[in-house]
Amino acid sequence: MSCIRLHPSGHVVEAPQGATVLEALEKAGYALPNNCRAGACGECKVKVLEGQYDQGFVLDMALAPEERMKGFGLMCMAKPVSSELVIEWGTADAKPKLFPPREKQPYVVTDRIARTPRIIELRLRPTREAMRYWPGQYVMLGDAEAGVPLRSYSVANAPRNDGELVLQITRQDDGRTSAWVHEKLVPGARIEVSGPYGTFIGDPSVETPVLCMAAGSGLAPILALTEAALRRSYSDPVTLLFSASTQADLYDAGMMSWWEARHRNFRYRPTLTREQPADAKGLHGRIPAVLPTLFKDLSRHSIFVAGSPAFVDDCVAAAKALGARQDLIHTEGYFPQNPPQTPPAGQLLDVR
Amino acid sequence: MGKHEQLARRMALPPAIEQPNVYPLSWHAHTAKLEEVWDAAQREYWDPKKLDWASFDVSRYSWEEREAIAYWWTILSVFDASAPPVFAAALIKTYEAHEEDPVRRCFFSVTRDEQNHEQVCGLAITKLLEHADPLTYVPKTEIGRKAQRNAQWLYYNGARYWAGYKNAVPKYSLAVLFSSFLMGEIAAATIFHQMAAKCTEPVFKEAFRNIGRDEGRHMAICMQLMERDYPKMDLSDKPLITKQIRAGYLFLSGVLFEPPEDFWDIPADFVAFQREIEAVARKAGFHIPEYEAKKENWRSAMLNLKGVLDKYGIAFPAIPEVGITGQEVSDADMVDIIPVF
Repeated sequence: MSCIRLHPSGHVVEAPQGATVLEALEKAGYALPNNCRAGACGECKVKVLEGQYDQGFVLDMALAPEERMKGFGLMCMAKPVSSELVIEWGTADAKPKLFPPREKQPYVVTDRIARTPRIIELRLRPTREAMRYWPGQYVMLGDAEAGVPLRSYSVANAPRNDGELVLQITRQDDGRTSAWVHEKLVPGARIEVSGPYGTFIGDPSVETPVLCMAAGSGLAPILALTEAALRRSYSDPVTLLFSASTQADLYDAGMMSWWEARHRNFRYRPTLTREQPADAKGLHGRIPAVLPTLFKDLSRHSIFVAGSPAFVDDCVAAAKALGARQDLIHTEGYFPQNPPQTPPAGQLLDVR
Repeated sequence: MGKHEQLARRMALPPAIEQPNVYPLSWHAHTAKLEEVWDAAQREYWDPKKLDWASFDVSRYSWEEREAIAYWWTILSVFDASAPPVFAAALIKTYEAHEEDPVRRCFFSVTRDEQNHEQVCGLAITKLLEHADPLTYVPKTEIGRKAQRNAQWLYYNGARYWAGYKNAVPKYSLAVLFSSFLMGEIAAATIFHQMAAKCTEPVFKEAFRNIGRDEGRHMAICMQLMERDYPKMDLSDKPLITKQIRAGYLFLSGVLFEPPEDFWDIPADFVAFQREIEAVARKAGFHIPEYEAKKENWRSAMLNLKGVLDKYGIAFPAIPEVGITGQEVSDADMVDIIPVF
């Protein structure tokens, strides 16, 4: 058994005998771009700072001799030989490096679905390169020329090959951008998308039970994070609490049901605040109020909360009252007028 | 066909099945890496029809430019659009040779990917020419007429290659095939990465990027199979591989470089026409590497292949055209070659 230490965070991943570095990282939840898995394409190239490894046989076109000299290796074929291998991965807090945002990327609205009386779901496809992003991040939409200010909307799906983005957008009272979205963005519309922004990407190394709490279209980033986690066969319990005013405001119940059917560790609990639930097992009341009826101790849970700032604050307070640790709490207070939050340069991937 | 003798009337169990045959079936798996590649192929699958063809406004190009760009896609189609049947034949061979299950699936994934690449050729040509094939299309300019004349010869030579391939595949072991496949994939990856890097038309750029990534997985499959088989290879196969690499160089030069006249059956002015057509395409913003860049890319691709074959002690053929020394091969012929793209 060797261990892989991630630099600069110092996080350690165990590498079982015979496993490649890529396999070990994936098993621990640390993603690395990859494609061919056998030393031919070069997409999983990283710099190895310390330790010995068996690179196996790889093509020069995937890893040039001068790159080897500089310490780079292909992790899809690399197997640790020394007891410890130190590689460059992510940031000081073991978050993955983020993709630099790009402005005005052309997209086409391919579909539009009314999810609730106030929330529509848009599906967008890129006409050029797909935007690379991490689940949980958001994009900015608007049309400055038409006097429609840019507003931030979380991406509701994990990245897909075809580059499709799913956005769930609530119509705000007096919200010019959300009105524009609801009235103008019909299938076929061409729009410009800027992003990705934000750092609400969770902790890829998390190995704890997970509690997600969302209200309204705050569900969007939670959906993306959950989809990504379930996609990589996350095995600890995941509970998703979703707060809505009425039955009509609950959406994506079909997807929740499918996730529950597919993943034994996933549990979905909707709660209604303004009417009694139709389902006898349904919850009634705001999440902070129902939380103690569902959990006695949250000291081992990773907590993800997304919604309005007030909703986030109340949920965090309720979770902390049940022992939740600050370092395991991740929040996304949705406030559409916020300027885009570009991560600091040190947290961005160098994609020259 | 003679009437089948009912053996079951006099035998408790049937006789051993004469090979090669796809039966009996089995699902052995020994090469874990290939299972990973298969999973990646499933994950990375894409649909050519879903590329943004609507963004490709052909009316922004003159007919001369459209015919010139369509000509490049026609050249590519000789190699890339024949790949589905080529790999389908190889897929059948993996069944008849009772290859392990992940190997068969990987070859299926290659066949499926190549079908996508063929579709891209067809979609591009059809959109550019507003006609479904380059041979019955009525050219609108002198460049178009030259392109069509060359296209006739390209497909004629393609037909010679296909006849040779069909003849050759049953004769060679899969081990011999793998190195030729790898050569084609290295060549393809070289082209698509350079086209993706320089292309400005969004739909082509995306297509080139996707195809280039597919080729990366295809190379990985070949390399894994070589790693599995070459250390215990029948020594008599090694000279065959050397010869096939030389043949592959000559054949694939048709798309990576320029078709050599002693191997390709083409008119004396074929290359001159091609250079003229490519110049028009370049001027229209469709980046086709210039002669020297093609030569350097081809050389680099061959050196990559040489690096692989050196590892297994297989002599590399001399490729004087790009300045690579090695074993002289003088009898490479299209009648029995197996390089693929």
